[in-house]
This record gives sequence, C-alpha cells and structure tokens, in this order.
Amino acid sequence: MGGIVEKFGRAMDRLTASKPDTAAKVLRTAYKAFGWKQKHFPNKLLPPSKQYLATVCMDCMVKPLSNPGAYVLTSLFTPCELFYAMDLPPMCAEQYSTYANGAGAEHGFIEAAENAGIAETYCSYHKVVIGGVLSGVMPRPAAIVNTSLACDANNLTFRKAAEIFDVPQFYIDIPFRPSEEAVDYVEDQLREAGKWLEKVTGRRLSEEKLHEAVDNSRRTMQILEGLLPLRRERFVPSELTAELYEALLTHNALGLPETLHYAGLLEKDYQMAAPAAGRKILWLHTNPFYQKPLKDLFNYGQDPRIILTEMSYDALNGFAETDPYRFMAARVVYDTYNGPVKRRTDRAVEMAEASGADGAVLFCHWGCKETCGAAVLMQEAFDRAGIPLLVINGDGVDRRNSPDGQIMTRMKAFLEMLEMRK
Amino acid sequence: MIYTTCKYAPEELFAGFGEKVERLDPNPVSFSCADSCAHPNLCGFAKAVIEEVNRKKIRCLILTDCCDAMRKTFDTLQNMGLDFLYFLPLPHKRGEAEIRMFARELQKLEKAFRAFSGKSFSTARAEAASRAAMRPAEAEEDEYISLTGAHGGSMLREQIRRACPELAVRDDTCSGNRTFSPAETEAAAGESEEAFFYRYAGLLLSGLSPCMRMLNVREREKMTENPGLKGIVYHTIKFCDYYSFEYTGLRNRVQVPLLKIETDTTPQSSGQLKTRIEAFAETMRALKRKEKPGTAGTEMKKEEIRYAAGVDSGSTSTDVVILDRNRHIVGSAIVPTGMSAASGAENALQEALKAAGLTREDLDVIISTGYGRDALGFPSVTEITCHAKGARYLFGDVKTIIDIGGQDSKIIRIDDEGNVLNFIMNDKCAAGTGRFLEMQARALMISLEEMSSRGKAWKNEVRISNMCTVFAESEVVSLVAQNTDIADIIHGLNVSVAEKTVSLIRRGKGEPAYVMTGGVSKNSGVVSCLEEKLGCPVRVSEYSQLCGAIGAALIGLTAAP
Ligand code: SF4
Ligand code: SF4
Ligand code: SF4
Repeated sequence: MGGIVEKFGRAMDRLTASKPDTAAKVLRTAYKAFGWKQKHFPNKLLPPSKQYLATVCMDCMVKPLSNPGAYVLTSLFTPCELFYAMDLPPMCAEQYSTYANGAGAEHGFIEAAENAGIAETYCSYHKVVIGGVLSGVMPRPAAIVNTSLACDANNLTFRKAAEIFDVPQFYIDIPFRPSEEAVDYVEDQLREAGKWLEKVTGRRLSEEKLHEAVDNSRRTMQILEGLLPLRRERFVPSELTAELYEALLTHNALGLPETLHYAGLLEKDYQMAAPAAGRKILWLHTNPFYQKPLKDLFNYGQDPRIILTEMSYDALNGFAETDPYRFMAARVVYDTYNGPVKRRTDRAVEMAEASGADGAVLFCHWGCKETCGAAVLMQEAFDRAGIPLLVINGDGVDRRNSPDGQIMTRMKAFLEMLEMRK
Repeated sequence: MIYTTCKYAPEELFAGFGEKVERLDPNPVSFSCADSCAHPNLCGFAKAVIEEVNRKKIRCLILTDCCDAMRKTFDTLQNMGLDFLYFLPLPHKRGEAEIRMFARELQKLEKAFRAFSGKSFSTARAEAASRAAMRPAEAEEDEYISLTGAHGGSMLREQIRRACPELAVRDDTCSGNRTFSPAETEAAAGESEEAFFYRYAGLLLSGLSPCMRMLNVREREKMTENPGLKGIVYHTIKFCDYYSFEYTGLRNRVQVPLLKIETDTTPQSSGQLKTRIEAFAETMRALKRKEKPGTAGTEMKKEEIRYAAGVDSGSTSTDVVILDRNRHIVGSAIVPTGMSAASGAENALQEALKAAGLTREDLDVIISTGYGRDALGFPSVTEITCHAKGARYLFGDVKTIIDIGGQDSKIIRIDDEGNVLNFIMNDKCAAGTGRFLEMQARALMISLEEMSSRGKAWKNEVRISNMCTVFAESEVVSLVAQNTDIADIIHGLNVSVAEKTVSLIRRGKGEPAYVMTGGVSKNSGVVSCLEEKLGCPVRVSEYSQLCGAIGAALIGLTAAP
C-alpha cells in the first residue's frame, strides 16, 4: 500500500468507528478530489478511452454519495436503465467496496461487520457493504433494488441493509435455469419494480428516457462484442483497475451515454493500435487490483497483458429484444453467471479462443462459492480445450486474504510456463 | 429409494409414484472424495453430500436450488454417473407468480421421473401423503430445546439429548420441521393434475416455515416465541452464508440461553462440541434453579462437607485447589499433566493434600473440569461453568471473563452469582490465541517473556494484516528483512491479537468489569493493547491459572454439580 493511502486508511478506520458522519464526508471528498485529478491530470500511461473510463466510474460513485436519500442501492447484476430513466443514480454495492479498498479504508468496514457477527468467510465485497451500513458511513438510499444473481450474498446483504436503513427493498428473482419462461418472469418483475419505485420515491419513470437508456446499452454491447477479434492481435495498454472499471460499465453503468461514449473511444483506440506480441491472459472473475507485485506485472505493459476480463463479457445477451423490459430481462437471465456452471465454463473457453488468449487465470475470491465452486470444472474445461489455466486464491477487497508471496509464486511460474510453450 | 437434501424437496410427489424418500443425514469421517473433485471452500454439507453419494452409491438424488454450494454440488455430481439426478429450481419469493412457476417446475420433475422410471403418478397418493404431513392443529407445549440454523441431523440431536436428557429436542433446521401448516385449500372433487400441482406448490412454498434462503423470513421469528422453548442451539456450517446472518439478529432478540455451534458435518467436528453443549446444559439448569429454588440435587447437606477439591485437568498442566467449608483455599498445586490425565490428577491431588496437611479421607467431594475431566472418574463440570465461579471468587464484581489460552479463546459473561449468562469460543484456528504469539515469537527468535515486555517500547505503528498464523509469520519475516524495529513488530502483533479478542468480546456482548485469564494474560503487552481498545481496565490475577480448579471446588461445596 502506498504511504499516503495507508495513512488515510488508518485515519478512516478510526473515523469509521468513532465519527461515521465525518468518515462519510471525508471519503466523499477524497473521491471527488481524486476524480478531479483523473480528469485534469489523467494517467498518461493509459490510452484516451481508459483515461475517460476512470472518470466515468468515479462519477458513478460520487453521484449517489452526494445524494443521500435520493439514490438506489443495487447489486452488480441489476439492470440499471430503470433508474436512469428516473434520474435516480444507482450505487453498485461491489463498487462501493472496491472503492473503499482503493482508499485503503476497507479494514474499518470489515471490522464493523465482523464485530456484528458476520462470518469471516462471507464475501468481502459484501462484508464491506454491511460494515458501511452498520457503521453509518454509507448514506441512506431511497430504496434498495437487487437481483438474486450472481450469488447467495445478494439474498442476505440487501435484506439486512434494508432492515438497518429501514428503507423498502425490491428483490428481482432470477430463475436458475435460463429459458424464455424465466425471461417472462423477470420481465414482469422489472415492470413491477418500475411501478414500485415510482410509488416509493414519488418520481416518474420516463418511458422515453428508458428507451434512450436501453438504446445506449444495446449499442455499447454491440461495439464491445465487435471488438473481440481486435483484442486478439492489438495492444491497448490497460491496468488491473481498468479491467474492473470495464466490468462495472458493462453492468450497472450500461445505459448511460458516457458508457456508450467509452465504447466508441475504446473502439478507436483498438483501431489505431499496433499489432503486438506478448503473452495474453484471459482473466476470469474479479481481480485484486491493489496488489502491488501483480500491478507491476500486468499494468500498462504488453507482455504479459490481460486482454479480456470475463466480467465484461458475461452480459452481452438479448440484443435482439425490442421491448425495453424484455431486453433487460434477457440480459440477466442469459448472463453466463446464471445456470449450471457449464454455461460459464463454455463461455470462458469461447472467450479465450475468440481473443486468442495464451492462458487464463481464474481468481478464486475468498468465500466466493460461485467461483471457487466452479474451479475444478473450469480446469477440466480448459484442459479439454488445451488452454492453460491457473487457479489462484486471493481476495479482491480484503488484503488480509491475499498473500503476495503465494500469489506471485504461482503467477510467475505460470507465466514462465506460457513462455516455454510459445 | 429417492434421496433428498432439503425440506422443500417434493417428497409427496414421489409418494405419488409409490416411491420411498429419504432425506440425507450425512456425517462422513473425511472429505477425501469431495476434496478431490470440488474446491475446499464449499460448505461442509455440500461436501458431505458428495461424500455420501459416493459412499452409499446413491442412484437417485433430488437437489434443490438452495444456494451456491448446492448448485456447485449439482455441477460436480453430474460427472458421477447417477441414474436420476435432478436439480429443482426454487423461487425466493412466495407470491402468486412464484407458486405458478414452482408448480410448473414440479410438473416437469414429475414428467422427468415418469419417463425415467416408467411408473405412473397418482395425485390421490400424493394428496394422501401431503395430508399425512400436516401439522396437528394443537401442537403440544412441552418444554424443549430448539436445534436451529443449518442442517442439523441425528448426530447433533443425539448429542444435545445426551447433555440435556430432561428436555425434548426439536430439530428446526433444514433437516427437520417438515410439517405443513394446515392448508386453506382443499382438494376439489375431480381435481386436474395441473390444479393439484398448483395447490401442492403453494403448500410447499407457504405451508413450511420459511428457511433463511427465502426472501421474507419474518415468520421465523415465531419459532422463538413459543413458550415451551427453553434454549436454542444454533448450528452453522463453515462457509455457509445464510445462517450466520440470522444468528446475528437472534442474539439480540431472544431471552432464552443461546448457543452457537459450527460444524462441518463430520463426527470429529461435532465431538469437539461436547464441552460447549454440556456447559450450555449447565447454564440452562442453573437458570432453572434460579426460577425454582430448592430443586438442586442434594445428596449431601452443605454443612456436612468439610473439604472440597477441584481438579482442572488441562493438556499441559493439572491444577488442584482444596477449599474448606468457609470457602478458604487450604491447599493448591499445579503439576504437569504428563502422559495421562489420571496420573496427572493423582499427583496434583497428592501435592495439594500435602500442602493442606490433609489426607484423601478428608475430602468429601472432588469435582473435575478441563479437557481431561471425563477421564478421572469424578463428577465433572465443564471448564466454562467452573471458570465463571472461580473468576467471581477471585475478582468479585467481574462481568466478563476473557480467557485466552494456548489453543483457544473464550468470552464468558457472568451474573452476580457467578452463573454463566452466555459464552462464545474460538477454537477453530490459532489466530488470536497463545499459539499465534508463540509462533511469531519463534519467527522473531525471542522468548515469550521477552515478547511480553519488549513490545511496549514501540514507536511506529506497524500493521500485521494477516490473522492467519502462517501468513502472519511470513509477514513478520519480511518485516524483519526490511529492518523494521522488533518492538514495533511485536506491538503490531499485540494489536492484532487484541483486535481479534475485542471482536470476540463484541460478539459475546461483553461489558466491564473485565478480567483476563489463561496463558496470554501473562503477556502484559497484549493486556495493555486490549485495555486501550476497550477503553477500560482489564484485571489480571496471579492466581488466574487456578480459576478453573477453584470454580470446581466451589461447585463441590454446594454439592450440586
Ligand atoms: S465475489 Fe463471488 S461471492 Fe462475492 S459478490 Fe461476487 S459472486 Fe458473490
Ligand atoms: S436453507 Fe432452505 S432451501 Fe436450503 S437446504 Fe435448508 S431448507 Fe432447503
Ligand atoms: S449449509 Fe448453507 S451453503 Fe451449505 S448447502 Fe446448506 S444452505 Fe447451502
């Protein structure tokens, strides 16, 4: 951890425990300041698209934080076009945790959650959210809307948060088996959610804005899908954090004009990029973007490089649907994270092949059964496809569970192995 | 035979086929098969199911879409070649739309099983079975202990029954409690199969008391409002998310004694619970005595007792205390336990008797406690109950005992009479115990004594972020390599043990006055970090090692073990 971030983090730990209001303010101000810096002094090691990406994501965080009582707390897999059509900024729970870690402040939240009896084995993305809610640092939302996808934690965190905040919650159940029947059911729930939100917030859902948002989503997804072959040969610098940003953009931020703009910029960057050699990695699931040795290894360089993160390509479904509600419903129901794990492993191998990955890394986030449970089957699928896969255990948020030494030994050995195969 | 894993499995549907159904009640001795085909972070129950399928050569299994772990179990079992493996989607909500959808899923299952077995389905048979599973309108109000939380099963029920034979045990987990609340809808004459399934889906979704996986769990609160309820044993399974959540709320709500236990379904893990379950039973009995005085067992009148001895048989030392009838310590001894608990106890007793100038005949009662308590042939009481009594004796107004030993740490809250109000224990990992500090002292190549004193001279804050002993050790080694001052590192370690302890204290709802016992209480560095974090003093006594033995002797004096 950098010295300043470390100091800031320790101060935040103390504030979280003693003065939650001040802690919230300090955090918001820090994000704003950082966002300002990103806008005016962008990271020159990154191409224009990725510079822009960072500012869009920061906006997605600052907006809800600056609108206590007038935002929606939601989960990564919830279609957010509905909220955009009502001018209600959504705050993605997983983003909240990731940013808390970015500020070095996750520890205080985790401690608050564990002191309240939340199991140590609970996913740390969710633990930070619960800690934020319990400690009073997270501002109160107007409402909570979440899906059952992608894991059990969604059944628990949001219910608990609704209880503590004393705000209404709308739960969108995504049936386990993707089918048209399931799409019908989710479509109905989304329609109901819209009406429900109008009632509990007193705002109007503009059908026109909804169409616009859905149209933005569709076009964004089409551009990203079209980029797959270009990723194969060309090099556009990236970083671990940007990979997570992109995952956010292809979920909660879908529907925003800024997201569409990003997709356009990225397309341009790829079109202008030169062909490049080097070992190409497909990254599966989330990543520990704060881990220094891993950053040194992957950030900005072309050998090795992450050419694709699974979490940015899991939701490119349902383009053909014309009704906005059905379009959103199809996207979640057919998400590769839904249904038997075979859907996910098949799609991962397909992504690896389409992007020409030399190898893939499956990051088993501590306590994530969705991913840890898939590890053995993922390995088998990649073995069959003849593509090397490395499974590593770590934590995307809680530094305590992500030991540098163990991760790096495995990662380096894997990369050496890829080098030999070339 | 059709096997199931969850109370929402449609057992009556299979009755409609004339099939027998059994809910799995797995307690495998090892996870050798599961660990080879699934990630170790899968919950214990899921692994146990995989083990059981393999061991019993199960051919037909119905899994319910309960949780991530069950989904992954399904994915894994698909490679194991069962004849009929079915995954039944289960809604989270229980409204009209969900019942309709669930009914369709049940019909799909019926069709699939018909095709597989070639048998025919009769709604009449299924209907009869579901009527048989109705809850009697008048549930009897006997006093009982509720085993609740995740998958309980026969092993845990049996263990609670043994510790507390005077009360009935009710299994309110996923493994029990499968009775329907009386249905509002009756079968209409000539009901179609579709109509039957709609009604049956409603019965399953709304007729069973909801488990934690359902969205609306308000009804669960009713379970704790039953007047017959005398205590709750709350079972969680490692890596199961659902149930630790409920426990958090329950703890603040219920009045009856509450014990949280965690297993991974193996007999070994439940064996380790013996002390805790027995202490829980002792707590319930103590409460009962308070409610109805005069019911204490009185084999020997208090006045008749001259001397009572308490033997605390621990893994490293055996401690004995002898009290006279006026509760004065007349002799004590601390000897190494040695090869066997029995010989350690004999030696310690002899030594204490010598110190007191007494003979064995003078002792009217001997009570044993500690890990070896059941191997000595004396009446035994758990170390938790004894510790509480002993601390009360040593420290007077204590409310919370922080006991950190070599292998485990516990928080015990006590009332004015030294009765246990509640306790929690961490004995699953070395983090925050004496062993953690021992390992780090070794990594620093200093003695424990040195460690206890040197940390106080710290200057810069160092954070040891890993609580896992092994990871922390490598962190310490790399700090040394970076020339970090040893005092700062030790302080960092002390802080991390103190943090871990405070979190345990918060969970146990501890309040001042605090006393600390156990080996780590000798480490003044940890004690002062703890005082800082708690913002109040933590008392330590040089006799604290004798706490358990004193408590046992005190219990001996009251002749009501
Ligand atoms: S990391 Fe895994 S457990 Fe955590 S929120 Fe994501 S899917 Fe759920
Ligand atoms: S938690 Fe609910 S769905 Fe899961 S096994 Fe238990 S009863 Fe069944
Ligand atoms: S113990 Fe928990 S995680 Fe495991 S199968 Fe049961 S509900 Fe699922």
